[in-house]
Amino acid sequence: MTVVVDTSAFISLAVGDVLDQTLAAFDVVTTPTVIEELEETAEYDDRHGTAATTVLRQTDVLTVQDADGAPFETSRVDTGEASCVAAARDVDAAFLVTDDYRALPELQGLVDAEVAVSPIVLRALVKRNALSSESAETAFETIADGRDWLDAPIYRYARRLFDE
Amino acid sequence: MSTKRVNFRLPEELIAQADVAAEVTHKNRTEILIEALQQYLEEKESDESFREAVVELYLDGQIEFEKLAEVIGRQDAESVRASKHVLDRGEELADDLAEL
Repeated sequence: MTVVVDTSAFISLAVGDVLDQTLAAFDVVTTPTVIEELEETAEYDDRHGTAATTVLRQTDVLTVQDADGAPFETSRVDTGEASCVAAARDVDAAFLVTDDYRALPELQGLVDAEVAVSPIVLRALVKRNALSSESAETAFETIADGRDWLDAPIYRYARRLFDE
Repeated sequence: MSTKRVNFRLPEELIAQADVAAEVTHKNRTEILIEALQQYLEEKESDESFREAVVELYLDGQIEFEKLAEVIGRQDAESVRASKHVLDRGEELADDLAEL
């Protein structure tokens, strides 16, 4: 079973320095639109830019699925996410991973796959013994850093996943 | 808008100031207070740290979804609610994901 990963989740996983473990543990699928978004992000000389560059170096170990779904865009779901919706349907993915909390309700309604967020991926890696609890927590804190007023409290809420 | 009677004490100086404002604007004391409170709340609600604190209250189970929606808007409130649902099932989802 495959896991479709969108731009925001790729950036998070790379920021948390757990991209290698994620790509080794799961059959990761993404789309050409996400790759384009990552290429745009990679132009920036900041944390996200560096993270995007990291992902782009790893494209040989993931599947870029050009989905048949018609591209669409809503006020909350951008073209990258929409392409992931189409890909998730195409490959009958078990999971769609996004870190765009604002798009979450809509994405849940669009795919049969479970919609998960990066902290859940970190937990799964720990369960797989692909990552130590300490490393997962460090990754989580790095990913949670510098979020806006809506995301920050959600990340604080997510922290309980790491309290064992 | 339905109203409710409330009793609270205000500093005399503040009441005196409000009464002057009421005189000048041809309103009564209650109207002045309502207007002032509305302005204050609008200002507060547009303040990001305030909105963040309200999201916290909802996530802690201290306020209902409807209250959250009133403050931060329905669309964002739905995002917070969906995020909470996903994270509440986080352990179960992580198990499913780990088994792939």
